Amino acid sequence: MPTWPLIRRGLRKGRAEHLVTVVLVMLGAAMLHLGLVLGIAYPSDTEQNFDRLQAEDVLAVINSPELAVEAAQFLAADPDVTSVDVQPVRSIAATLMGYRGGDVTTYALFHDLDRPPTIGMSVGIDRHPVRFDDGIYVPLQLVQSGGYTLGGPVSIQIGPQTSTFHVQGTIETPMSGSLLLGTVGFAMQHEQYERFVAQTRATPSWVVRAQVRDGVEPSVVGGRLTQHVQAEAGGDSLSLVPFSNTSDVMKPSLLLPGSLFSAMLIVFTLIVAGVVAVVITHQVRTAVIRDLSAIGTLKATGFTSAQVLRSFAGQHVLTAAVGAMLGVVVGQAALPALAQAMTAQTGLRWTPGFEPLPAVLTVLVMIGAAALASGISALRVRKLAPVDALRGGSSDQNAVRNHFPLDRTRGGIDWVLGLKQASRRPAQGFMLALVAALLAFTTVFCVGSYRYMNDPVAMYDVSLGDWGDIWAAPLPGVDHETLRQQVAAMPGVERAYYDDMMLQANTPHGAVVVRATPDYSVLRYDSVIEGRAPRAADEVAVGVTLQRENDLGIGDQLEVRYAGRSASYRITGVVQTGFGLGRALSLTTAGYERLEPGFQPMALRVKLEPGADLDATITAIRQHQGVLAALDSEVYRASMLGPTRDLMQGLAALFVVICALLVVLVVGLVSAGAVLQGRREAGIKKALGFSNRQLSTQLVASQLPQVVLGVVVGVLVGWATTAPLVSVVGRSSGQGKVPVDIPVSMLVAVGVALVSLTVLTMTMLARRLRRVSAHALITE
Amino acid sequence: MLRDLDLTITRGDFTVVMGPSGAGKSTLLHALSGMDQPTSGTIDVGGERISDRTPDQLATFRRRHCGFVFQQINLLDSMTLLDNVIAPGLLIDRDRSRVAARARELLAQVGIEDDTQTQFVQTLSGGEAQRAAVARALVNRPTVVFADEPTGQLNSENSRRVLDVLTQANRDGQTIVMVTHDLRSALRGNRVLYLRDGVVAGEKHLPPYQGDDPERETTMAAFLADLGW
Repeated sequence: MPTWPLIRRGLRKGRAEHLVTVVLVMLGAAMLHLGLVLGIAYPSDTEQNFDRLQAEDVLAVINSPELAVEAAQFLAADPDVTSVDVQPVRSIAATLMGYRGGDVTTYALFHDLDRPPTIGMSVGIDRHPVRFDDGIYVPLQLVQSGGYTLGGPVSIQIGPQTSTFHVQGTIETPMSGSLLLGTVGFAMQHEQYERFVAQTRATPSWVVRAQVRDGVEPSVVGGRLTQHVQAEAGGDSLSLVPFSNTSDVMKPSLLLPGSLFSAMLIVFTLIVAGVVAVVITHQVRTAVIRDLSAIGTLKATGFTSAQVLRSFAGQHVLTAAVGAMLGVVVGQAALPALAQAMTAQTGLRWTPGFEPLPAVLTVLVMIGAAALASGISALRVRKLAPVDALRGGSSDQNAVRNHFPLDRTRGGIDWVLGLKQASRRPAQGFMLALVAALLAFTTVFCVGSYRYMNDPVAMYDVSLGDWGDIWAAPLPGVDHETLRQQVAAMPGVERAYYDDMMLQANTPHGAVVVRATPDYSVLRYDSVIEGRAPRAADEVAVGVTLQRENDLGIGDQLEVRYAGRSASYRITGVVQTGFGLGRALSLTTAGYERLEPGFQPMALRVKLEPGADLDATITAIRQHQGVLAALDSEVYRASMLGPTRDLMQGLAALFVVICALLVVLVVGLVSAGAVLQGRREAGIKKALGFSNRQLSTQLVASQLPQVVLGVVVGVLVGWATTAPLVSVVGRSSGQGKVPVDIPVSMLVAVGVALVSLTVLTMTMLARRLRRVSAHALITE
Repeated sequence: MLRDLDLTITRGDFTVVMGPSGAGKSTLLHALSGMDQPTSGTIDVGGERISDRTPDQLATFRRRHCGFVFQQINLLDSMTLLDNVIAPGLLIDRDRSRVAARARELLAQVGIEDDTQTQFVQTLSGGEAQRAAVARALVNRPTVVFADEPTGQLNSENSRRVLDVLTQANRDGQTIVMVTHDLRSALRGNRVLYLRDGVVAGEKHLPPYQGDDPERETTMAAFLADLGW
């Protein structure tokens, strides 16, 4: 291949530039590979995890032995059900002390290992070699993300009593293995279980699990079960069935962290790919100018334009290929850490191997970007006549305007000389400005995202909705309205209302999560992003994803089925919620009662007056005879989303660091090139009496205006678009309009930090001129 | 490499430094002008020691006391001729209009017309560029103008014009130290130093140059012949 020696020569001559490209491409490829693995392999691996653990499709926690037996018999008789399991457990809202350095509260199921479930749970994959008398098996997620260790202590508070155990081992269970799902399961040896049962108020419960035939919607089977249980339980079905779920509703929640993470990685890869394209364009243009004579010689000796063009583009395709493959290796090396992070979210072990499809896609995308950028920028080679090229180009210097003439331009000599240099290299200036803008935009985006996630109220409101200040669960058999009124009358309580989330409703567009509360206008946070919340019993607000995927519009009618009944509702608005990843409905309680007559709500929300004592009120509510449990809503919400939030925050912080690294790399590349190309000119200036400091200032002045311009543009664009973009990233998880607030001071800080980093990088590189004498610089 | 060198350059002299390649001529020039620092020994200019100064102190020294004319011309390609002359001028005088006026005057003195002054370097002939370089060297009224083979890349006509400019500057009181291989260029000096192997092998004083003079040329040729040139 006649171009191969030319490619080799180009690689040799531009070693430093190609190294920067390799690093940039490697960075982008590593992220893209991880993003694609998460986007492509993770969902199917999660599906395989469900198969591996023989996960149940329907799960119901029932607080009555007769009802549990009835439910099991009903399921066993269902032709869509393939297997049924009933297991006695204890259930209660429990607080895990010391989880991630704090306390979190969740609905907990305690299993007796003498009566393990036959489906859906794997106990003791990790096991401490010493058998503890007070040993407890905890969900894998708690060990991966909670800071608990095998053999270490774990304290669980139930009501006023705290029990401390040693972590004997871990449990994997898809439907109740993660705080993200709101319910977690623990297991103990029989003797320990008996002691625990004797000491605590945990409710005797039965977990009914069922698997359904392939092709059957679990939520349909779950709906039938609910209908039957309701009929059997009379008016207290929710007290007797405090928790039920189906795998088709649950899986999206398990995939939420992965989908968010994947979206952010891919978005960021696009930005890095943009930077790579800009850098390669600059490098090719510089190389063409530098090699004009060589191009002339080649053309004169018979090389075609296409061959010369290929020699330029080929260098960068090769460089990108190396960078992309290294990136895949780096991404693959980082995959165990990512897998661990995902396990920490879901409680399901994820051990991905080498994924060829994401790897190949990654390499192809990065090579394609490099080929496109280098090919387009090398096209100018075709227009160069050999004679012009041999003369070093046909451009007439005097056709170039003399910007900033020294006899007329005000300002310090060094800044004016720097600006003169900048005006001579408009393409380089444009590249610098573009890269600075891209990176400033990304930094603002990441800072905005970080701030959004750092404001738990905002993030939890968007993802989970307003849960009031306190969440309380009535005991079975309690008169709910009386309880609500009594709690509302407690000192410091402003309002008490029910706000429930049901997991088994269906629409013609698939399974949905249903929220029901009497009056949405009393909520502190309004989830509605379009239209309004439902006010009447025949109105519904639909989740973002449900609306988008099915092109539902305000005013449309939507049929909802639940427990064998169906009702039609008029859509009044669109709500954002992470429940069901946006496949969700908001109904009024009256509206929900059309689906479930005699509905008895279970989630009592309490809003406190300003200044009221939260802990004292929680204690007072817990002491009420009709209350099963009462929790701080913020702690409860944090227990569900905290790990995801931390992961995303970490990612945003990592991206900010990567942006800083890219700034250093790109500015360093340009500055190093300017220093290298300007050594002779620097020598002349030194001879004339310019000091090192002045030369450094000139270098800074020759690049700073473009960087500042780019940073200002990038910061402004970032400020204007971060909120919509975060919403776009979160679309897959049901978000539609995310409240991202970036104060002006933060924008200024980002801008100043990026510009300072730029100046520092340029100043450091200018130091290379310091120790060389003027004479040496001129004669090099 | 220079060694055992004890040399005084007298103010107002046109000193010519000659010698075979590798004799240390350029090294001497660079050391005297503070562009390179001696590994040992001292250099004083106008009673001030420059051999122990920091690079930035030397830069300040050069901008005030030294003008340079290089064999490779070394004008800044990215600037017009006028800007090339103004740039060092602004290092010691912030009055932009005054410096610009002096730059124009100097360029005119070296025979560069107004319309050429605003052209970029690459479009000019070597002679024009070198004359502009001389104007640049003179803009700060330096203590010494150092010229390193200023006619080395010029044809005879352009060489003569550049030498005329330097000679006139010397007549106006400008001290000049010029390295050259060229006998005709050397005739412009009133003091000729011949370096060999880093030491002054010979020295010749001549009357100030007044124009072409066969006797001066013969005397110089004999001096150089005695030194094996």
